Amino acid sequence: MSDSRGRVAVVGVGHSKVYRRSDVPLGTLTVDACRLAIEDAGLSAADIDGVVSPNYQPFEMGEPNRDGINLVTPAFIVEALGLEVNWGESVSAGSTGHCLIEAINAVAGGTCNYALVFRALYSPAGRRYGFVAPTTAEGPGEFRGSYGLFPPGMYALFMQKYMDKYGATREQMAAFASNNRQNALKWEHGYWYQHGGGPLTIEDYMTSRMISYPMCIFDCDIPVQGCGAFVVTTAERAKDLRQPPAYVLSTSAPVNARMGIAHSLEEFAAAGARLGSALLSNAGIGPGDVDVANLYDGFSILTPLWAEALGFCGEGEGFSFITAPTLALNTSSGNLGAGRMHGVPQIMDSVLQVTGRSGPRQVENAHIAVAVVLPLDAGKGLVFSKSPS
Amino acid sequence: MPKPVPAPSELTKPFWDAVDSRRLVIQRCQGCRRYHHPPVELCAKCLSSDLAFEPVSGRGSIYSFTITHDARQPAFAEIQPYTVAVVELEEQPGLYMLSNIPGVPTGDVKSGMPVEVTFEEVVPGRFIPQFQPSRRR
Repeated sequence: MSDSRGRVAVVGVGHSKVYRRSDVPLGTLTVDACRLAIEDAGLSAADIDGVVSPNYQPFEMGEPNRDGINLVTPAFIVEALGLEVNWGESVSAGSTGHCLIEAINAVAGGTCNYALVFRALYSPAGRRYGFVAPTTAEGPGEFRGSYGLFPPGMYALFMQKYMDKYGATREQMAAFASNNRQNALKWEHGYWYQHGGGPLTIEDYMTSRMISYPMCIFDCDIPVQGCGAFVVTTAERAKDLRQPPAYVLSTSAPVNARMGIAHSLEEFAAAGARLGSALLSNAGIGPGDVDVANLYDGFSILTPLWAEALGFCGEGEGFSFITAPTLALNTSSGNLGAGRMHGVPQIMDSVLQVTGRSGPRQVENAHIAVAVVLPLDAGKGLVFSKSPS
Repeated sequence: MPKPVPAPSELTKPFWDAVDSRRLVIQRCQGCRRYHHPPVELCAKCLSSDLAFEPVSGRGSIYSFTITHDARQPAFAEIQPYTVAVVELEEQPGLYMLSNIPGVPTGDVKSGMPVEVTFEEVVPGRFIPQFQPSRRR
């Protein structure tokens, strides 16, 4: 069990409106989300003395960086909100979960008292998201770029292998996607909630456009523009704030051995299992103690693999588990329901659940919530609790 | 529109030079005999810097595959739907390469299928390794 269990808490959350495209500058949406998170905590900008954010978008956009337009730096927010910070970081990988863990550690170590974490996602207007036309395959893509393997396909390889190995089916994934859409219609910060989505039937899924077989369009998250923000402080300071604290019982952000051309499904699952066992044992809990699990779903195949990695079901049982979960699964509706918010919904609703603030999604007696974000080989995990121990 | 053409570095040039002459070589640690692909600067298993490119059989099997219907680059959008397969070379478990399995209709590609190397000319004089169903019985 970790010595720092329950010493830090998330005390405020904020979310901008979500747009399909860049109708509103990303910097504006980021300021909205950050102000809301600070206000939610009952703090003012003058209290914030730490700020951290990822400095990249999930896909290569083929555009030069434009601060406030296609990314938002911590320095932009320092300027926009008039912050005076003792700690800040612009993180090149890891997204929302990684930055939140950095903030938790900065607060625990005393580098700052109130850290602001934000994640701003860009979706360009007037062109296809992530559509680029390179003439060379170089760097990390040198041995991949000539074969037309893109992020949906990289995960479709795992889904195909999983289906071959365990006899799982697309019909099972359809049932999960359909159930998940019901959750999406309760997540007020999500794309399908704000932009008139209705239910998704199994037939809708089975007859939808194929993206990278066996993955169809409903196995992929829809790119959106928006920002989510969090405020973190010590458990001691959290007592005096506006909202009940979501205590952090443990965090995990491993680094795995270098990958060759591709991961095998087995290596990918093993990376997740290493994170899962460290995350739960550092929190002093087992899988049966978890009330709510928000398991990353930037591509649908990731959720059953994470369920296995955390021990919520056995190897090869992931597809069965997600169609009939034994705990509250993906209450935020994840990326599939919220849009490509890259870990924001999973973490935010986990915080809201353990603090009794999840409104129509609230799980009764939700004491412990687990959020894991990103694919299993790059996973970041957090365990939140209603009480500090 | 041509597919992206590999841009070799000093480290990877021997691999691509061999491919351009229709030979498949893979970097191998001369200390622990482990194959590395992509090539590495130093063997992380035994810390040897004695790394050489050695010919391999070019035989393997399909580990997994996907059929892309919605590519993110124009060169591939023109040819979709197309297969991308992970091929595991017979020399070492987990020694993977990619291939589009040319000449095989997308629906006919299956995991476990035995394959052997062939070469595709992406622009005049520049080749990439591909794999096709094995002709050996």
